[in-house]
Amino acid sequence: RYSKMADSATKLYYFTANGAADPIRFLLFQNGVEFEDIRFTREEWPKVKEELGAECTFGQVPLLKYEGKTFVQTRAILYYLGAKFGIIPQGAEEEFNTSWYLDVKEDMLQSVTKGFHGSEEEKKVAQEKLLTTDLPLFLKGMEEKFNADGVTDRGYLVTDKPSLADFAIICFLENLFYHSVRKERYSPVLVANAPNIAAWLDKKLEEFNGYFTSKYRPPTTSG
Amino acid sequence: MARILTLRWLFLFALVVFCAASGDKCATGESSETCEDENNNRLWYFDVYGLGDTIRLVLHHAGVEFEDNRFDGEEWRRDLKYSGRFPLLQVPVLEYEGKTRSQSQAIIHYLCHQNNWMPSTAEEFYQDTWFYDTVRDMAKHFSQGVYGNDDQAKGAARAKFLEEILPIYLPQLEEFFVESGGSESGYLVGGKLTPSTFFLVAKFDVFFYHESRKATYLPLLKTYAPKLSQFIEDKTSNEFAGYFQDETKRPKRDN
Repeated sequence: RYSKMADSATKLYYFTANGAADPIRFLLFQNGVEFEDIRFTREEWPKVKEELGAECTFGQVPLLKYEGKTFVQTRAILYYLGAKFGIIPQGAEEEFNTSWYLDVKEDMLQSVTKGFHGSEEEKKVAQEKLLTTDLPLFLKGMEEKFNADGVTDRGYLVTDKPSLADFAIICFLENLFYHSVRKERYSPVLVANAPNIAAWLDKKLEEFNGYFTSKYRPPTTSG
Repeated sequence: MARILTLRWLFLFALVVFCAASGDKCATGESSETCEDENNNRLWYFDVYGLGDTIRLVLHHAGVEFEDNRFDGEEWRRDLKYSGRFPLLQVPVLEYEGKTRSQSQAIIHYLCHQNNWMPSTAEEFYQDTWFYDTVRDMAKHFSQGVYGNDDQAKGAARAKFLEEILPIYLPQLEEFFVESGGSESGYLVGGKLTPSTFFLVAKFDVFFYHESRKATYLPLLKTYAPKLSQFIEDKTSNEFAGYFQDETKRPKRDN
């Protein structure tokens, strides 16, 4: 969905959370793109939606304004920027692996959000299941693939340099397992079920410390 | 000694007979070489359209021979899910050229890439991913009206799909279809086959053209996205007719 704008400043619109905007911020930062990180609360959202108007297709964020055009849908934005920055998958195997990690991430997210609906009792039960059954299963599956693909030696998920899958997965895992509000309960689950991924994550957080200590990654209340 | 040999031969004979009787498929987990050829291509999925339909379409369109293994929920839970064949306890799973792959979106993109059915430019990557993920979002809403045991919830979800989801999504898709040049070229993106063309055609055929829904759903497609409806009809009747018009490849199911 393109719109010809006089203003060609890069602007990213999202809630006051890491969430779906996190990998986009990460990608822009790593490629040295200065951008306006526009964040708003749930209360402010209707007003922002109104201001964005028809450009906000389906009334959803993240929404990116880049080089005079408007983009929506997280994965579509990632692939667009990835293509611009030269880090999209090369070849069928890399395409498979990139999509696989993004797909599993989506499945994990769906599982996680189940723990935030319903009554207090229902949420408690769902979160317990998440930590004892659902997340361990996903993590074991991820660890299996991670090991089979030799990621520890290679350094990155899909190839020998950072690519789209890395940007999406590093901040996703960091946010889910290391966020201060849940680190104590969640990080042991990562370490127990995916020890090599946990070790890799720690290395990557060190490597990309610039992003994680930047203004684009302020403290958030829940994720 | 003689008795042991006899028992062993009896056992092997029984095994061969069993395998012959069960045709190409063997009981899951059985690794006898008389039954299982590790180089067979196999798709594992429920006997519905769901997430398997597009994979089957792409495989057929690519001319790939494969076993289209279909099963119901009971057989899945009882025999397959915990057999060790499905690490994420999920399907679809595709065994192809000696490798086992899960996640339908990843599988479809892999197969498309192998056949050069991929976007080329950054704009095309954006468009293709936008179409694909938008249809995926629609499919999630659609599924809520189909799966599950709560009839009331399903009825409410179906009403929501018709009254809220379609009137928002379809005009946007139609607009994008025109802007991407698709309405002129006969393909969603880049004037050629890409993953989103396969996926949108398959999913929209199920949403709008299925006998059980056509009377209610198709008029909405024709109203909000007439060019898309023409595109789908053209694809299923012509380029993809080998799949959509062949019930041996695409048996009729409700969902």
